[in-house]
Amino acid sequence: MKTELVDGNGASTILVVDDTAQSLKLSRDVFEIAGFNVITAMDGEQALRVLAEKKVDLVVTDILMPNTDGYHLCYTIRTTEKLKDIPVIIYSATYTSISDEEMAMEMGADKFIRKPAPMDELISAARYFLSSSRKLLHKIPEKPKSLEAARQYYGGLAVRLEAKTTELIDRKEKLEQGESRLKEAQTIAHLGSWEIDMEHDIQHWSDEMFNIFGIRKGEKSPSTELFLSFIHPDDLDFVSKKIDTAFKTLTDSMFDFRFIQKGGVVRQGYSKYRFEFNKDRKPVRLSGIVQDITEKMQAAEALQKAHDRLVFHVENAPHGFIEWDDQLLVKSWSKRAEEIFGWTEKEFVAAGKTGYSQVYEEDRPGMSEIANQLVSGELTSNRVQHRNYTKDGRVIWCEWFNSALKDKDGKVITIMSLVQDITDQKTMEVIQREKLERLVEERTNKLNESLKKEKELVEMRNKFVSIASHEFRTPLSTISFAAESIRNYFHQLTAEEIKRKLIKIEDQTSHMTNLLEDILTLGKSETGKIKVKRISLDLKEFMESLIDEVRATVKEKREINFTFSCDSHKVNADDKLLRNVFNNLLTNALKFSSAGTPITIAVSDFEGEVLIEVADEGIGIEESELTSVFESFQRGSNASAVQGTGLGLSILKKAVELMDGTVEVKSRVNNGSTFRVQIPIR
Amino acid sequence: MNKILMVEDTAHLSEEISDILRLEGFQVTIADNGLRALELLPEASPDLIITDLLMPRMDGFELIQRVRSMASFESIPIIILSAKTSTADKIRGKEAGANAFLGKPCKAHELVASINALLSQKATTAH
Repeated sequence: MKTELVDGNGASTILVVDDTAQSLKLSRDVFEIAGFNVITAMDGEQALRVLAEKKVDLVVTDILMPNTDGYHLCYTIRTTEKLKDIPVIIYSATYTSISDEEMAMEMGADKFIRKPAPMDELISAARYFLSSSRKLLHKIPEKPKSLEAARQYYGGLAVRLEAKTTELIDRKEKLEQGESRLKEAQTIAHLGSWEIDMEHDIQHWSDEMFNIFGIRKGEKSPSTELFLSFIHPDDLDFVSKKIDTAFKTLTDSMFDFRFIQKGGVVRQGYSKYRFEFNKDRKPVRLSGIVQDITEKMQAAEALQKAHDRLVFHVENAPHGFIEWDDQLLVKSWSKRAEEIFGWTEKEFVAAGKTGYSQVYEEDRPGMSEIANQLVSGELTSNRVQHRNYTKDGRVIWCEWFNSALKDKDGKVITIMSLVQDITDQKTMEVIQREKLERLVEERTNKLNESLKKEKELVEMRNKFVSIASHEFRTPLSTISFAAESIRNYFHQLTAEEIKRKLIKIEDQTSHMTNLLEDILTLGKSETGKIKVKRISLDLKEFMESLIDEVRATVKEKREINFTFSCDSHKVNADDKLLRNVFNNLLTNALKFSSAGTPITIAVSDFEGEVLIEVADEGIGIEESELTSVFESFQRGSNASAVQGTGLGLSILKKAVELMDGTVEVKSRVNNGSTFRVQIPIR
Repeated sequence: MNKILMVEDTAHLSEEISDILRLEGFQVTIADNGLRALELLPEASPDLIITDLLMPRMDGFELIQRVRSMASFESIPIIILSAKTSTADKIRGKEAGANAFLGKPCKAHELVASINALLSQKATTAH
């Protein structure tokens, strides 16, 4: 400690007397800093004991103190022989008045200084009295002479004491209230407080400190060692180092630790502390708290686990998870979202992208509407499909499940979206749809085609019936008129005329019979009632016998040239159909040519099939009618003079088609016709 | 003696009808199609025409229209005798200018009655 030499006799000793610890400490600090030795006393009585034992150079005292007050101390010093020369400074604050100062002087005080006084004033006063004390002639206080003086003295003292007592009691109650409240709060919070008086190495723990560690208050004295004894072995090293560092660096800090209660239960603790310094930056006090945060930690842990679980689900779900603000700026963007769109959250934000600009242009209007519904509060959630851009510029189909989280005023806090890439599904849908559309179109076309065919068939049949009836009406008319003539004009007619009419009736009857048979044949072939039955036959023999048959039915002798140049006579064919075809061809050739002209029949191999050609030198067919002659009831315009039903060629064509063959005709009017029938009958 | 022009492409039928009409006292000229009928018309100078409808070269409808457009025959009685007997054909025949329509086959006396009726009407109108 620094010393200040006074009169060459070493440091002077000052006795500071004050009942307030804070005040006492302050005064002591002041004098010590100035280089004096300081002794303290809490009241007048204690001061007198010190004075009896130790050499004191100066007394600095308060007035109001328990047991013996400042006035009395001063009076006793002045009236005690051994002490009477010690200078006395009264240093008092509250309740001072001019009369107090007068009283102090009367009691033999050397100086009266009012609290609080600047440090300099105290020190200079002390120095002054210490340097000149021996030369001072103290006034020896007289015993209060008059009764009035005594009454005044004690009366004033009583009033002041009473006031002070009341204040003290008040303060004490308040303190006690505060203390009990603090204690209660500490218990509830599992929070203990502690402080270390670093000057005196005194450590104090609040009651809750003991509770936290599971010991009773007073069971053990609070100390840093006691604190360390509860620390979990695994954390002990860390905590010790933390405390060492704290004392070395004098820095406020905090730390978590595990501790084991007296009962053996492991719990989680938290400590925070703070240093207090005096004016000279010297640490005087370290205070802090210890909190049992086991429950808090457990709750936090449970919360963390729940959060981790949620994050796990979000990260592993097939959906990307995105949080937007009300401007559709990204707030967070899950890993799956990153996989879907290619951007990381940071890249997306850095690129200046928003939930709008990421949408494919064509789909933006619809998407904006949906987003506005969410932001305006019209909807709390929705589900929507639209196209989005990816980082590499691709366009993908996404399905979005959006929901808006709002505060109690309805303001949107956040918009949460779950998003899934449905491009494959969409593509599939499109393919499926196109496939379906194609199928429907095909079916429709087929249906329309068959409807058209059906319609055509019905029309054809109606036409056929109408033409057929017409074809019957003409021979019927002839028959009817001929029969009526015979009946009505029998006597006016010659026998020859009657005979001619009867022959006409027979002719027309047989014509009608042929017509009927042809119609029936055609009907059968058109309704598929004719079954093709192939048999093996000698084609040359078959043709020759047919030519003989036909030749027998014509009156005039006709020249028929038949050539057969096939490699083999054998064919596999339906003989009835073949007979029909050939009969028709030969009969027509004979019918439509004059008696003097020849008929040429040639049968040959052609393209692996059999080719039958029948040529005449007759009337021929108009070029415009070459196709229509194969239709029912269509006859060449130059054929009216020749008997016929108009069905022969259409029946022939049907028969050829039933044998998978083809028929065509080459002809010129008055230059004859050549019919070529090609059939696969090998 | 009244003269009749009969237009019919089926020879056996026109023969039978003309036999009956001659027996009934008419003078008959036969044409086997419309075009031929128009050719024969000036010389034959008929009092009545009987025509079929379906014929090669020129059908009955066209024939009737042509005849009606000729000043000397604009009011000549015309009878259609056809196997086409639908209502549509009957209407078309009337529109073309025919006075009567008979379907095939018809009775001889029905045809003769129709001819006589039309000729007597003509005689009345003429006087």
